[in-house]
Amino acid sequence: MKIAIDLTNFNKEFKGGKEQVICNLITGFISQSPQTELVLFCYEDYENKAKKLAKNATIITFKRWKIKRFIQDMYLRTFIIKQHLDNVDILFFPIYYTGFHKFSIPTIVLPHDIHFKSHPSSFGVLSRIKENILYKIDFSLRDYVMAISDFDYHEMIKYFPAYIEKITKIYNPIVAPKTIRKSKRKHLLAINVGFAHKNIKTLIKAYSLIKDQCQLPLILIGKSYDDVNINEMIKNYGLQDYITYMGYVEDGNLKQLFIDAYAYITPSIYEGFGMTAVEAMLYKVPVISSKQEALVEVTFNKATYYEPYNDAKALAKEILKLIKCYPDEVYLNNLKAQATKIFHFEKIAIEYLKFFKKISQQIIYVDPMSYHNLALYDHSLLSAMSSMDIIYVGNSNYNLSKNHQIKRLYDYSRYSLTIKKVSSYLFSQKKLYKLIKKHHIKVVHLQWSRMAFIDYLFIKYMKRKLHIKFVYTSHDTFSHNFEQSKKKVYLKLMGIADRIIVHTKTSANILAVHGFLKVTVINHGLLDIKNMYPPEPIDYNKEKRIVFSLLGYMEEYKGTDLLVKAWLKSKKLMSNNRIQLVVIGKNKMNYHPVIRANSNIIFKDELLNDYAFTRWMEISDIVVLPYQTISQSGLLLTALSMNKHFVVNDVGEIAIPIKKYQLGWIINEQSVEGLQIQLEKIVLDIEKNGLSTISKETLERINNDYSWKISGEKTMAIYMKLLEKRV
Amino acid sequence: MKAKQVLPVEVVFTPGWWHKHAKINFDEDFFFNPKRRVHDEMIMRHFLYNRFKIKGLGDKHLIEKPVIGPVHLAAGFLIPQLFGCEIRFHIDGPPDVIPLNLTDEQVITLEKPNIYTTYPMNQMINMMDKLENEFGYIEGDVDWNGVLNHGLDLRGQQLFIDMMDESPIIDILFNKIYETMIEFVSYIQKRTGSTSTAVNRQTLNFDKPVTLHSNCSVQMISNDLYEKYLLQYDQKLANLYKPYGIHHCGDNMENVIKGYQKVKGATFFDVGYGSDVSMCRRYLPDVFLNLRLSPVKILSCSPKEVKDDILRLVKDNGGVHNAGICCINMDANTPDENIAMIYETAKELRK
Repeated sequence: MKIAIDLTNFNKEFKGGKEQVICNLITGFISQSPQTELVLFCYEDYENKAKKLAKNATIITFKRWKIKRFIQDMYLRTFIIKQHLDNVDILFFPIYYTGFHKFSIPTIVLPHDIHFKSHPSSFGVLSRIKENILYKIDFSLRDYVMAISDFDYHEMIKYFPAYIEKITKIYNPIVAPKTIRKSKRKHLLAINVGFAHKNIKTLIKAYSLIKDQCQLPLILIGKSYDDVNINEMIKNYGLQDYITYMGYVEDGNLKQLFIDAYAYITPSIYEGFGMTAVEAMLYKVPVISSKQEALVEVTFNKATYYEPYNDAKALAKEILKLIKCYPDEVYLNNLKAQATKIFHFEKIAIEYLKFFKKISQQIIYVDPMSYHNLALYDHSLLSAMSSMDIIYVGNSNYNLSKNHQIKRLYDYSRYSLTIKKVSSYLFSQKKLYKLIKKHHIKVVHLQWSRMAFIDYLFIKYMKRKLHIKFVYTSHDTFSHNFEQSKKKVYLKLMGIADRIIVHTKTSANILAVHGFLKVTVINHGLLDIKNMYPPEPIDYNKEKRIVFSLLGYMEEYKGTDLLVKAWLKSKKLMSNNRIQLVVIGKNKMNYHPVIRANSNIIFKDELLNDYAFTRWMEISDIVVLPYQTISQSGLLLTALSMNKHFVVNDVGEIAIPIKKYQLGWIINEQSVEGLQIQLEKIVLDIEKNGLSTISKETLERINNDYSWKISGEKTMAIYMKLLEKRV
Repeated sequence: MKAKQVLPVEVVFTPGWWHKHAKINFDEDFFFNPKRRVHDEMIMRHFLYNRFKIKGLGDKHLIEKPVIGPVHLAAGFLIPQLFGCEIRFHIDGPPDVIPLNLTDEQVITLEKPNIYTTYPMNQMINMMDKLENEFGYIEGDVDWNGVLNHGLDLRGQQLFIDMMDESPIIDILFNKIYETMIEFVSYIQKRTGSTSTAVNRQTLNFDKPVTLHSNCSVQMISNDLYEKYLLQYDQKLANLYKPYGIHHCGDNMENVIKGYQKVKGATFFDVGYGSDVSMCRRYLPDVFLNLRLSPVKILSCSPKEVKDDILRLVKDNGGVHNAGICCINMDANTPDENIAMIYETAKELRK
């Protein structure tokens, strides 16, 4: 994965917690995923720092203007950065104000907090207007917005509710220091005191109340940014001998000051995260904190708290209380362990990388007909590809218990009028287009095109507009009795595919004849209907009969008519009460036989529901597949998973497993008479020798050969290949 | 009792759903910290509105309300805690009540807790006072659950053997639970005006809020046992609180329908998914039936199936009148379109 990070907010001077966050994160990326390529954008004055941070990264530097820095920042982010994003998967803005460009790759902003919304009174009117406009643009143009705590998340959904779906919470990363304390704890400590919202005035006031009782000096650290005159405050309270204000302190010195601290105090009014309080826990220093905002959350409700935040007396009381009942080493160790577990920079980096992977490898799997067996097919394949983040789009009739977070965009099947069906399909495709655009989808995999011409136009348009790669799985496209015009449309659709998947070599050969060479053969796995659609009771008494069956839609190409005619014609079969023929399914043939009620044929022209289908399959001993043309059959793969015997015509590749595992009889009959003779012979054979038992070893071999795991791996390999080749 | 709307709808999500989607943590503070109560409830209402944009579900505006108990989830742990049960809180799940498995002697000597001084009710009262001071009023209530449910929390599975043995322990235990419950409910009602929002928000969709007693575990006993041991408490409660309702989330309300028919004054019934609605309607012709959908089924079924379920339930009820629809405790992965379908179908049916 290639991640671009905009560091143009930073310069030579250390920018406090926000800079620390991105430094920790980059360090985490490098240590946890060395193969990740980093592209860092920064000004020249940050180049050395960037090199130190990530020596193998591609660093793109910009010369800083002498004036109008803010305008330059926005100009870079709007017009320049986009020119340097070749093969970049993700663009990450670690700070707000991300410019005005909508990028073609997923972009993420980490605003840190929305202080100006939560505490508007701390900001001037102009600043509030500016923040409101620019944050709104950030939330609107970026694809994802990171929140750094539950509190921050709630604030964002409170003030930017329209962008709920974009917001994701990942805590800030913190480097856990080694804490070997050789000296005695000797002072109270507060950091980042130079901002108004850090409320250092309350701390100084509280300290003035107890300076003699606590007998510990107070050290204040942090450059003054806002209009906060710390020295003056100290002077006003006459605390010059007690309080040391050190301003900015280098990392190494800060570490020692932390280690030596008796307690860390944060009287902050607003914290989106509270990084210094977490650092204190990691240094095993007890924390005294206001109960404001995220502070209680990040200190796990296990620090010493006072409230309200501006009550100096309450704070003074808690400081004395802590001195009286100082937490023991075990307690502090446990807190450190908990903080390390939750905020450790490597753990957070992994969370970010996972998130980046999820949003950058966008693949969409579309099956407009995801119901019945086709839903089971989708479920089996998607389960085998669960290691990949795939958006699944299907039909509103999808009803399996495992839903793979399906987005049911297709609803055409509820209409009977063609015009309505087509309108609904068009409407669904429009929604699909929006979804693909929104998620920066790179690969679209279509199964079972329902309206091939619409799909063709739509995919072609998307390829041009959104530069997607298209994978099409051709399920028996040319084996059925397709009309020539329909065939042409499917050829067009396949013509724009970057990769075609078929289930048999025969299909691949047929496609090769039509000039398609980007074809991969991937086995169709077994359809385990028994687990997904448990059998429902049926009013049928099998007794000791041997049941031959052909279930599902009755169609000429399946040879349904041949089978029924052959059976009806044969006196031997009809008069044999030890056998039964079951043919159930919606009749799509011109042939409508009249069957006597007391004959040994059950012929029902009705749509079988999935649960009844399973039951009839269970009842069947021999599945008859007198197909006239086919490459692979879902019925065969379902029956294989249920250990059935077969009578199959040797067409396409359906006879292969029967031959390989010796599961029955292979015939080659296109006539009623031929089929009649074959069936009579088979019945005679069964009556003489009985039905063989399928061995455990054979069952294992079948399961291995028709494994979804392998199909999933092969399909994922296709996706990965297409993602690599993306421009 | 008059419903404010024909076929009102309510949905409730599990803490897992809230934690996953809205980052709400269900630690002890969620229930007892006044600031968290107000803040988290506000976020939950606002989140619901923005996620679904359905009229009546959540709040568009950020309005702080002094809500004393959770409005958007089911969690009836407070009374067992008063009796001494350990409660385990989870940030992404409802609190677990650890049964006390009291012996005969312990049941006999069990003291009815002083609800004003016993933890956590004392903390709860403290929170109510703080909120009332700040806002000038308080609203909402706390799930007070039901006699048999609490009986199981305190006695454990031995309770069923007691029933078969016709042990006098049952009445001793149930009486103590009942007395505590009514003291608790009456106190809350006096302060906020409602009793059962936290049991099912549907109770608010009437001219006067319904008091709803939870009979979740009644699905585990026969009608004879119900009539012998529990009917009396439902009757006493129905005499005390008007309008009164019974929550039966089990999939077999028809099994105890004869017993329920005898509760004079009960005008509202939660009908668990899977129950024979037409039979319930036949036995209870004039009451309001709150028809529950299955939170398990809705997790994976299609919107069409949701619609079909509602149509079937309403048909079995004999139409939309005197009926409501609800789906309670939906899990984190419940598809949004299924929730939308509940509201859409109800809207269509109202026309």
